[in-house]
Amino acid sequence: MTSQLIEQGLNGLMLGSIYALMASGLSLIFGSMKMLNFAHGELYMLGGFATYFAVTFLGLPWWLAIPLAMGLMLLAGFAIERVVIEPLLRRPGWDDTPIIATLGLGVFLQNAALLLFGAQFKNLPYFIEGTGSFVGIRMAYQRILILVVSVAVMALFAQFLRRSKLGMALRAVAQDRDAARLQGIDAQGTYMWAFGIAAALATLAAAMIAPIFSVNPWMGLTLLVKAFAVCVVGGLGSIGGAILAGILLGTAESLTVVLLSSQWKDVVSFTILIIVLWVRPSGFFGTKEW
Amino acid sequence: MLEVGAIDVFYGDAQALHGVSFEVHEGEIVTLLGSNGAGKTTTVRTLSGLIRPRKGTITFRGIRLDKILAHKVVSLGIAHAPEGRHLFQQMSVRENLTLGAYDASAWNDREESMERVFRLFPRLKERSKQLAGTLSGGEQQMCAIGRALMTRPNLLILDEPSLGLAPNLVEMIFQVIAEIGESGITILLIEQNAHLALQLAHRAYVLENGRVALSGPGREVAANEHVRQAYLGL
Amino acid sequence: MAAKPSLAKASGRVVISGPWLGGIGFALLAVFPLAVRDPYWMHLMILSMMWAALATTWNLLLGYAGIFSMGQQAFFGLGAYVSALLAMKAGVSPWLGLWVGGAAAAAISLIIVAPTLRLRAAPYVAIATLAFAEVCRIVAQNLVNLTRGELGLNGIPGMPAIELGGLTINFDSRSHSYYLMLILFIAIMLMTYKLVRSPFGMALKSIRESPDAAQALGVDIPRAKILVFAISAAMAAVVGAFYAHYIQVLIPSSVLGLPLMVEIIVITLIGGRGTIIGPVIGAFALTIGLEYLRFLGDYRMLLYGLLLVSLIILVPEGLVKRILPRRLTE
Repeated sequence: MTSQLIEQGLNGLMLGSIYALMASGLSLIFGSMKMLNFAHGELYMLGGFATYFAVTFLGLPWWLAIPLAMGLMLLAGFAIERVVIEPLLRRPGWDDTPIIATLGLGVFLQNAALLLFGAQFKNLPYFIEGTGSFVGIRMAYQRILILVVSVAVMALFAQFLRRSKLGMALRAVAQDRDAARLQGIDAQGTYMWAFGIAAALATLAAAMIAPIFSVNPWMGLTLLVKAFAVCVVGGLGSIGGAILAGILLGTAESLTVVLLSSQWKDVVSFTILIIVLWVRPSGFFGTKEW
Repeated sequence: MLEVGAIDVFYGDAQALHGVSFEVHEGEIVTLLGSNGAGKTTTVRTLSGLIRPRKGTITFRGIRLDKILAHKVVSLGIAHAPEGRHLFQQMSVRENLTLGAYDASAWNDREESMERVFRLFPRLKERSKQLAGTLSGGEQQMCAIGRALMTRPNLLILDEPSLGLAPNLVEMIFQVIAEIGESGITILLIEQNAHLALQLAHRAYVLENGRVALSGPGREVAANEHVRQAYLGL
Repeated sequence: MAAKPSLAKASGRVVISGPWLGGIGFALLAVFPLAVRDPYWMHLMILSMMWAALATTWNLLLGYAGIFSMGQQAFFGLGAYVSALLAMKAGVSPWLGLWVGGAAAAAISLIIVAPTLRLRAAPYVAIATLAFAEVCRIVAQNLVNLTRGELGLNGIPGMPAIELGGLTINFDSRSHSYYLMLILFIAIMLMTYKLVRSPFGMALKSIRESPDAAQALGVDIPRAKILVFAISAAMAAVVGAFYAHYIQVLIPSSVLGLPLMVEIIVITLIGGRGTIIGPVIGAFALTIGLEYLRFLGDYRMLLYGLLLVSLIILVPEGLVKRILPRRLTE
């Protein structure tokens, strides 16, 4: 039983890193654009499909397919921001307008995917076959790969935000939009980048987990709520917080699978979200970086 | 250098500025005075492109400012240190200054510019790693001015630099402003603290209720009866 | 309050036009089954009224109190399942079940209102309420022994016949169900109308416009939010219970899922939030309109998505506010 628990714990780490990746993108959009992207789950879903098609139809190896899919979704993110979000951000007024717009977009994308790609779950072969054994614990190489890649990318992302010119611009716009414009930062331009980068991060998350969970048109909604849960628990705007919160949620879910059954794992994440919003909406980990 | 020609500026349906006109010549220090709500900040925000005038023109070295996007104004050589500082609170002094040089032409010289700012404000150098939100009022103002200087401006607009500062700090800030002016940068100074502003400025304009009520050389305006009563408390 | 005089002036005119419009509408609806005998059309109208009522309960939260809840489907589904299960497992009469469902939803609403008391920003409220609704859905899905999960709870008894002064009103007949829904619909619309016009309604609007100002004026914001949520939940649940005994089949993804919420939003948006008549027009327009677009079939949700985006960008205040003069809409 203990080895099973530890295995599930490691599984939780892996899951958590995926959630954290999603949360980073969501947090980027929320911080700089002050809006909740309800279509984020669908960006994830589309990214997964893009990877799937790159692998199955273009025959690309995974380490080429994923960057290609990410690049594609980066551009898709630009386009969506320009066409759907831009017109709304210029208007003052209700802060629920972008939620409704992205909700509509999400619904549209989900159903478009359903119609275009079909309801069947699409499977991807594992990127790395085989399992390794560490200290008596068996862990599939794929899962280790997921954890390593996710954490590495998030570390890169954190550095990007901290050091690069665009990263600083994004943070500046998040903290004080008008002051940023006075320094010569094109706020609208950064919004496009924020959306695009978030889409690319979501794509990576979907692609990495695709061999395990497969790709289907409905995978978006649950991920959205969990990504938001990670943002809230971790403290909006904190990448370190997102990683920690992701691990927490991922582990909680995995343990639920072992102790209860897999059909309750989503309930666990959602309940954690509600409780945290009840008790401490500003989150538990990390400092405000936005 | 800067010519503002009869601008009308509205917030929604409410008119904030009525036919405001003024000029700033190269190398001058011009001050815009007025009490709260007179329209000073509105004027400055219009200059920076954050608001568009409904009527009138703003020309800077021959280019129409009122037709340009806010974030492009900097590239023309105009820097604006806004009222209330508006520093990036979650970033360090160094990061704030670095962001000041965001504009392409200033970016490459940012190390050099930062050295200059640190020479002007040694306190900032001490606190360069500190988060801007944790600085004292005076240090924040120094940082705000420093950040504006990082853009290597030809025209520096300072909106109420004395706001909320203790008198000795205000004196110090104004000394630095004078130094900046001497180094060749044209300055447009918006102030409530008329006394020091008038000592410093070559020319002054007084805004009341969104209109230019008075204008002239600094000394003349300082000697004006109305100004003495209303703004100098004499 | 500077708002009062103009409101009173508007009230003066609205009292003449608003309720008159409602009265005419109700009267038309009342005679409809006499003119149109086709049970299918009656079914459409029943659905329209149902959507209108449900959207109205949601509009109370968003349009009037400014609370962007995305969990209205939870209350609808809760009322449906509670009443259905009580009838099937405990032999409770649906006439009682309606009220129990309403009360249960009102009680459960306390759970979901709690986070919204502190959080004002729409994103937080939206996700919190959505998460709650999803939990409800998954619970209904997983408790297969109770609800048969996604296979569907079928064989739900219809509303039992009642004796009224010698007449037996039997609800197997479509037109009788129609009149029951009509009564529910009128009741909900009237209650909402009264609520919105009452001091409580004004308090809600003030919370929507400026919570700080409202608090300064002495509005007990938490109490107001708790109350409006409970009322909204109870009404939505009663509609849900009616639905359960009318359709007689319940599937978690249909009555507790996000698509339901999307439909509510589309309806309210078409009509216009913050207006009484808006959701009604939206509901009838959408339900009947979709009938003519039945060929769309699977493309329905696609259309909803497109509608949402287009509406919010082009006509955010809703078509009603665009087309009708202002005085009719408050």
